Amino acid sequence: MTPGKEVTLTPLSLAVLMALLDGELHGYGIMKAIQSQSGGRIQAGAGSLYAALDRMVRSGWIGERTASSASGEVQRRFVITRAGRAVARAEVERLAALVRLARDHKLIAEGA
Amino acid sequence: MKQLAAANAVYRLALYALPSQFRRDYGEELQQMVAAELREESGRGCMRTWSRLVHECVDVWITAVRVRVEGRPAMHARENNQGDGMLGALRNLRISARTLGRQPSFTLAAILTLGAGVGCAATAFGVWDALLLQPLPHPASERLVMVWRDLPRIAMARAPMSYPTLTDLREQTADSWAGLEAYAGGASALLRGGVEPEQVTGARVTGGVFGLLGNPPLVGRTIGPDDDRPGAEAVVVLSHALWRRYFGGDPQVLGRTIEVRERPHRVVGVMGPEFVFPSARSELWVALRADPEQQQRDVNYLVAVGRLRQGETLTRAQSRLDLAFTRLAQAYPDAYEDSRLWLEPRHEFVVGDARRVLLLGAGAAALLLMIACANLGNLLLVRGLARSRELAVRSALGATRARVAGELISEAAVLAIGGALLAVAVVFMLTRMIVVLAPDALPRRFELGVDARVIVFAGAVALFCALACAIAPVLLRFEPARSTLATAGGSVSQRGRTLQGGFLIAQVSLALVLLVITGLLTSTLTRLLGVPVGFDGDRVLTAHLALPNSRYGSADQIAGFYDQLFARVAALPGVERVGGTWALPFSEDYASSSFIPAGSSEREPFTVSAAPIRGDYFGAVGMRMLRGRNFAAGDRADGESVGIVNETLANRFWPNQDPIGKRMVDPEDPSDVVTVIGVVSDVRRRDLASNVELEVYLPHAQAMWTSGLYVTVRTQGDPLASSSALRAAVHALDPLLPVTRMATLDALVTRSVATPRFRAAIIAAVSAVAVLLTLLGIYSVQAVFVATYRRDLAVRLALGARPGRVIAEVVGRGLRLTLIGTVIGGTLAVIASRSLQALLFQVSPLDPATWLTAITLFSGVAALACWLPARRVGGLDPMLTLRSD
Repeated sequence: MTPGKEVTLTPLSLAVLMALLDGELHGYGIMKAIQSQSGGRIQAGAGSLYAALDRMVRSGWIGERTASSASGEVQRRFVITRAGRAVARAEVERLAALVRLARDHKLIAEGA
Repeated sequence: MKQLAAANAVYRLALYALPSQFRRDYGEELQQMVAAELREESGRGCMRTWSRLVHECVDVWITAVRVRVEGRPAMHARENNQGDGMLGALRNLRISARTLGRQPSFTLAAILTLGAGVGCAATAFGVWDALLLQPLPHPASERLVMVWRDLPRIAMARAPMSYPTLTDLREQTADSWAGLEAYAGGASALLRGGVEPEQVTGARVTGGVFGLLGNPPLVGRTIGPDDDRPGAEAVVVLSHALWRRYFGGDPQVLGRTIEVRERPHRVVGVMGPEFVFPSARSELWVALRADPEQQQRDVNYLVAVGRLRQGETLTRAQSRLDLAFTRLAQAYPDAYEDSRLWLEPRHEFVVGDARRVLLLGAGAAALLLMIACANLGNLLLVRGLARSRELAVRSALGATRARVAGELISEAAVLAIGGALLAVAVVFMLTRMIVVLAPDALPRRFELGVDARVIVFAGAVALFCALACAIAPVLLRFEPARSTLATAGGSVSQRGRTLQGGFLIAQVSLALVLLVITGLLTSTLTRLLGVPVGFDGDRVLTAHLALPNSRYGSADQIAGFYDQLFARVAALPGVERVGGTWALPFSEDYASSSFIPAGSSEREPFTVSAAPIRGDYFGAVGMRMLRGRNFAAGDRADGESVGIVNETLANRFWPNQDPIGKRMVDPEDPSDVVTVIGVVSDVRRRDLASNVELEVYLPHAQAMWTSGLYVTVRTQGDPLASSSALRAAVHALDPLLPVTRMATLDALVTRSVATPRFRAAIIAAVSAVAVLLTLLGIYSVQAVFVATYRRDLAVRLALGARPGRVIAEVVGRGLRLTLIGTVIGGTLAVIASRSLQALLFQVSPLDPATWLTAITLFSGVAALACWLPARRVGGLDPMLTLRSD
């Protein structure tokens, strides 16, 4: 999958990419970040989250590395790749275009 | 904490649905993540934790199916069709509900199966939870501990202690306790407000008991430390139930007076409905004031309960106790010889033997749940196979495998919702039944109720089972490349049939286990009820009278009352004989003394059950005089002490001799001599399972221990018809005397087997459902076999095969599976029945009659279930069948 090609992301995949923008996180951190960024609207189960992460790693949108945490546990940490940023940017632009369209047609108020 | 561990374990199990590669990659992290989530949710309550767990399990299953059908590489291209997690599944639910509605018989069978299995399991969980896991209804109740005297010589592990023992222990083991208090029974009250006087039982408690337990009163105050001092005002605290029943819940009840232990007591408080202490029968509490004669070191009547100090362990408290008791035993060797003290958490004491009944019930419910799951798996598989053609057409038209799998899963979810709703209804019904029907031996049953935890449990289990059952056929369907149009109408894949056979064998074997256990417990009950009791109780009415000391102070007054009463009752129409006894068999009253034959060199005295009797007691209950004479008016208090012994005692004390005129003595008190004047037939005294005891009957005039007596009346017709006449006769002599414990003697015997009866009833009910489900399973497997192979069968018929032979083959196939199940089930049942040994009476775990009946009965109905669908083969018209495809 190369960036630039038309790709639509699921809300969960996009949320994962957004969560990783600020730096690497482990699975639980991603889940917490998604919950807080979406204001609790996206409530992914652990299984779905890891299935999505697995898929995204295979697509090359995110990378993973193992690190030991403070408590000595080995943890898998995820980081957004250049391709991932591009996909996210493309998706957000698509959404932004949609927002502009909606605003033009008075579906939502200015500044909403 | 325990809950979290359990929840995590459930999730760990749920992970096994994932493809193994995915599980190896991420399983550990998923677990850690969910553990962290659950830990966080647990702070917000138990409901939150469990609903989170259910959500996560469902999520894992959906993921499992998706990962499997989509394959792991490059799945993003289609991800838009799916939606993430639950949302996509929820969208499917409505469609599924509609599809299922079109097949009411399948849907009904699946929901009934699930509802019955899950309902029983959830009820068992609820009972288990309420009785064993929930703490007692006192704050920080885990630190409440009983202190018992163990008397190994008379095999009494939980003996009460004396007042001085309690006060000495309080002093010498003070480091262990936040408080050490005691209670005793015998606080019966006489309530006169109703139609006739009512007797209510209560407990006497030391001043600190309420403080120790920590329950606040609902109204007024509790018994306080000052109330058990000498000279304090007599006060009483009422239970919530008594307050509602007798005072109509009147908040102005404080200050009213009721008569407890024949003295007026002022009501000072009412406890809340949750307060149960020491047992559910206690309805009021008064302060325990030890009179001088109750302060002797060898008068043991106090049940001690303590609250361990914060940080004190049971072991440390026990060693302090041992030390203190050794010192006491040295100081007073006579009072404490041959005994020791031990601690038992109050929760364990209250639950007691119920653990075993609960274990049995939970085991049976678990088996039933497994059977239900096997049945549901079978039904879903059968339905999946029947739809394989439709699915093949749809795949050919471009439906993705993921979509089809999603639909099947969401159908399972709809079934789960229906099953869960039914299960909750079943739980309410069964719990109500248990509260009403359970014997007294099931403690805390009045605290039983259906709460949110049980309902969440039912929902989670229903969902778990339905999805687990649905996943098997889904995975199977996608194993071989796909079911194709070419094969769809004809034969079913080999794997499908293997799985079906497996489900069937599992069901048959589990159902057989339950049947065998039912048989064993039922035979136990029959054997118990078949034990000759030695009396003839079906026409005997009994009632207990306790003459108050204030009005019946002398032996003459007591004797006068009973003589008058017996004369009046004997004159009643339909009454044949009247007598009385202090210790009625199968009642709670029991007394024993130590005796040896006079002149013998026996060192160990025999424990002999002693029962004072009056009037024509033997005649009334139907016992036979074997030798000698009955008591007569001449056996007066000032005469020679005489006794009538039972056959067992006569044979033990004086084998092959004439016991009449022989004497027996109490080795500890040589002045206590009883001369035998007669021998009477044996009776069972305490329960049906134990051996006949050594017994001596004493004339009431010579053994008027208390004023209480059971009146026994033999009637010509139904004894209960005479109950109001008996009451009237008592009240004609003394209108204020309560008549209590009115029952037929047979009813007392029946009540003594309430626990085995309850056990047998539970298991019988569960196995009836199990057998029905299993038959349904066999029937559906056979029906599907006939339906899928009808072409082959029709061809054979067309070629001249005799229908009878074809039917026999189809039946034989079903029977073969049943047989395998029976063999496996038999093996399991051997193991299960061995562990039941303790519950059996005169029945061997391998009792041939029971096993034969169970297997024959089961095989019979199984054969019927095999034959009914096969019968249709005979009706196949070869031409029509072949053309229909």
